[in-house]
Amino acid sequence: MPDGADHRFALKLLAWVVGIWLLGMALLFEAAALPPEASGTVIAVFPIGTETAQSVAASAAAGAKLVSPSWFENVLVVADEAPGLAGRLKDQGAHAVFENMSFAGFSFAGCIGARLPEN
Amino acid sequence: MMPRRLGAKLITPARVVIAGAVVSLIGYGVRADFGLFQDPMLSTRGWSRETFALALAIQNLMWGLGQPFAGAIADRYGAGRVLAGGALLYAAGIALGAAVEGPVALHLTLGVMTGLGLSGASMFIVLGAFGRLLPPERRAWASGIATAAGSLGQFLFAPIGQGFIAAWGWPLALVLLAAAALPIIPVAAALRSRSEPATTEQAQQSLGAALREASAHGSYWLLIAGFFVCGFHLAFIQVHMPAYIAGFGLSPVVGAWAIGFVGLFNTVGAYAAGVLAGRRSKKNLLSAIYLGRALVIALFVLTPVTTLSVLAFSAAMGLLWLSTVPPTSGLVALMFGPRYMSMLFGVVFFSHQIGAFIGVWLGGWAYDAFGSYTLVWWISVGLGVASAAVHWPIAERPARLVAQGA
Repeated sequence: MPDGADHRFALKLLAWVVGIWLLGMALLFEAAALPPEASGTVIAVFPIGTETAQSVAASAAAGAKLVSPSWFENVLVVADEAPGLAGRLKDQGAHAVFENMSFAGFSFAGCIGARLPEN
Repeated sequence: MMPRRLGAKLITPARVVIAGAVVSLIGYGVRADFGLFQDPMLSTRGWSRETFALALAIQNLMWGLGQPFAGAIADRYGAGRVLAGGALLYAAGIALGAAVEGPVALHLTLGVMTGLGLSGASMFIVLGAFGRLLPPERRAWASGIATAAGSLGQFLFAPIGQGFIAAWGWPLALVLLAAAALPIIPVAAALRSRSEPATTEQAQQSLGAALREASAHGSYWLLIAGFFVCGFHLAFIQVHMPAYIAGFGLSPVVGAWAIGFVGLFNTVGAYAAGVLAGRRSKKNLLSAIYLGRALVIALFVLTPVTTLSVLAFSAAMGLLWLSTVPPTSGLVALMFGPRYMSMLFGVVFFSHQIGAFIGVWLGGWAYDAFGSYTLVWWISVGLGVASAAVHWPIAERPARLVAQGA
């Protein structure tokens, strides 16, 4: 029967996996961040703890229009076609700016890998 | 269990468990990202949504069809080789998907090759290896870890796939994702040696005889019927729940959180089920899980749909999601021993995939026909109760003893 040592082993394994993943994600986010001159529809990531109203106000100050909220209050999808949007968002406090992408289409539990049409 | 030697290296049970968890995490994780490529691939190639969906449907079908065969090869030649070969095919299918320009080629690469590769590089081959390489008292716990790792992999790989696409564009992202599947090959070495079968009788049993024994064993059919319901529930909920809750005016963000909750709680539920399956009756645990699903679904349908009810439902279903895998695989190993476990569990899994296909299709059909999912929710409740009842009379002992009337 599994005992306390087995559960600790499972927790250690989890910690290692998550630790390696966090390291990889940090590198990946840096590679995926848009350059300051980028514009269009983008994802703006503000510091953790920033409320939606503050994120929207900062985006507006950067000259961006709100396109949609996200899973998190500090992450917004915003748009502006004038060059330099990413740089302006960073000037207004955004940690990073990424290309806009759909966050749907994930698969859980191994049963299916597609999503239904939205309309 | 004593550690075994593989070349000059010592393979301990801990390494076997870690290797199985890594294979499961990568195999399931990479697959979780395919949906992310839908929009960028369609806009570049000009395909219809149906073209992409058909590729993934073929992939699922090939995975289900290929699993018993991959299992049989693993039982005969060792899990490590099948995992390595499956990972190669899996990676090749994904990488070639970046280069194809026509729908047929897409269906052959992301559909057929990737699906068959998955059947070789899947958690189910790992569970068979655990049956042969780990002591009986550790198998259920280890299968809980592998199942939880698979679920966690899907959660962790989603932002990785997004990051790949954002940083380097979808064609290179597919190639990178293919490369991410390749570590399965060296890791599989820890799972490659076959242990001797437990009994002399098992050592002499041919593959055909094992299939005949299984097909004549009533409890095996009950297990197959029960796992069909698992696939039905999971696929219907996963695909149709976001649209269902959006129909009540809730934000799509709630739908996204709901799927996220299922994934997170699934990790906890799968591990807990592995621990419980080692301590309690596996068939009673399965009855409890399916009855629990029926109750949770009934409560969800009968109560007003709010953000709180959706998240509570998702958490509860997450706990009951892949928790069926450790006791189901454990029962196959108990009934027939570890020698042909990968193949026999592959057959059970094929039933799961048929259930998944019907769950997705029926949800869509019912919505088109009646403008609501209510009928399918109640079918899900009925199937949950039926599956609980089906598991109850399963004889939880070796099939040979049942046949001898012991």
